[in-house]
Amino acid sequence: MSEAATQAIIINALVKKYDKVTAVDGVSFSIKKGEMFGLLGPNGAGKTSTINCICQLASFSGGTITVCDHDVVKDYRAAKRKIGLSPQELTFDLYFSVIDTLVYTGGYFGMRKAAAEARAKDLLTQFGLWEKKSAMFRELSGGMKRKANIAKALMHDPDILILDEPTAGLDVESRYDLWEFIRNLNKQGTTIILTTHYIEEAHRLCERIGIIDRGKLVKIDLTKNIVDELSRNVIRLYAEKDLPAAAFKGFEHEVHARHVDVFVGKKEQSKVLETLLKRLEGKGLSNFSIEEDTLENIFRRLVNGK
Amino acid sequence: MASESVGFYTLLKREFLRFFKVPNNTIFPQLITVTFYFIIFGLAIGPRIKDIHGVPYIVFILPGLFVQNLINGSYSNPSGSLFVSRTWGSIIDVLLAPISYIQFSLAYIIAGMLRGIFLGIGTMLVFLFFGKFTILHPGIFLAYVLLISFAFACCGMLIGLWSKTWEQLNIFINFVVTPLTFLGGVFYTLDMVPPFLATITRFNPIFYMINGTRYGMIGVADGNVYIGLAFLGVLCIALFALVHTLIKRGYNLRT
Repeated sequence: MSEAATQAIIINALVKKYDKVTAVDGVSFSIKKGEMFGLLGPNGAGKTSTINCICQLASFSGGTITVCDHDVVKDYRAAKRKIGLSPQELTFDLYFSVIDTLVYTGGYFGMRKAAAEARAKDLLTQFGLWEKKSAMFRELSGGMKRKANIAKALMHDPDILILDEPTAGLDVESRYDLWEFIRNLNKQGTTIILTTHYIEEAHRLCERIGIIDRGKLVKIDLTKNIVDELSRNVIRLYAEKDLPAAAFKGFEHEVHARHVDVFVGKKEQSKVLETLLKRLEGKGLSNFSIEEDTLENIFRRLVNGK
Repeated sequence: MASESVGFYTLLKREFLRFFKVPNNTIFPQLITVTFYFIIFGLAIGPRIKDIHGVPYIVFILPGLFVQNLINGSYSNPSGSLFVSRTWGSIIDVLLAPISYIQFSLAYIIAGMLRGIFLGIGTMLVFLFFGKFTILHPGIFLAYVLLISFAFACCGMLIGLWSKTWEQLNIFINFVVTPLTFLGGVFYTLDMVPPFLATITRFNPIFYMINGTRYGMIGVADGNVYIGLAFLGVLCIALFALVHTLIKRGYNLRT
């Protein structure tokens, strides 16, 4: 099977400039069909610009993007049919009710009225918004607007669902419900692309992650590999008295009043711990613990150098 | 209906129905204003003016007022809708849809034309309270109605795309369309005004639009209506080409 047949999105050397500012600077990556992919980055990193280029909400200065083998510029109609986008900004029509807006959205994608109405009812029921079907969008709470926007993105049952900060403004319960919904959707074969500020969210949901910073892709790999490769776990050694400095020779460490922290990669952790325990045998070591690094810390180090 | 055209039809329907959602802003003010024109210029002042081209003054001014509402409706629908949806961000729903650039342009333009024609018909219905009207040359009348509404719907799209503020949105209608309409022979013929005003009027494109529509209704005109039609046809092609180019380029739509 050719690469194009297995890839939902292929981005090649994408460049997006706003006047003199380069928002996306030569980014290349691809997303497999059926994948749940997370695109992470600090504010202004270029995530939304990249997504807007994929969806043709933004023109780009260089590079190519194909969606299910359709060039998003030359074959924009076929590409757009494949994508559902729930944007970061909560946008809504001033003049139409929630259900009318959904039915119109279905119509834009070629759905006939009866089919669009049935689909809208199904989605609004799933999102617990059926009772609000006749309300105007502006009358909904922030969380409801967010859900209604996701329902709108799903109206034409897209092959690829792009969720730009989908859980912003949602309470904890709604967030968990949405995660479950997204997982189920992905299990049914929908490719999911998620951008989020909640690193935990990406860690829980995405099998692969791309980290973008200042317009450049700084890391892309399986979430597990990123954690394994870039984790900086802490072995915390407690003691009643000062531990001998020589025991920590060769290891990055910090000495505190009642403990010493030794920083170590996940892969070397066992070996280092074994060495330290040997070196500190009979030297006053009372206890130790291991603090696992988080994806959030890895992300912060990657984008801020912290 | 093929699914390819469902998107176009849906957008057209939404744009057409949108103005019925706010009739106090889009329908009634225009019809109330035209009612006052008929009362003041038709009933109060009109009887003191002798017949023009063999018709009472109130019948003479009907085509001009019809064109005025046709222009206002055709222009306001796409300009207001595009401006508001751009400002509120809801234009994204249309930009994400697999609708071709031509379909995008035509949906807004045709919806604008329909609003203009709706207001034009409303003007005629209001007139029925004051008298009877004729359409002596239906072909010419229809051609003018379609071309005028098309041209001003295109203008509405251009201004709706360009405007960044409400003030900019209203510049064209307040400072271009309204003065040109009043100086376009709604209330007078060329021989009723001083020569300098008649000369100015001859350079006013809206004069030829009103003139042609008046010919279609009452059968008399100040100039050649076919030249006016040809001019309007060329104007429509040029305006549509510009609209389509800007939509395709995503002017003020895509970042």
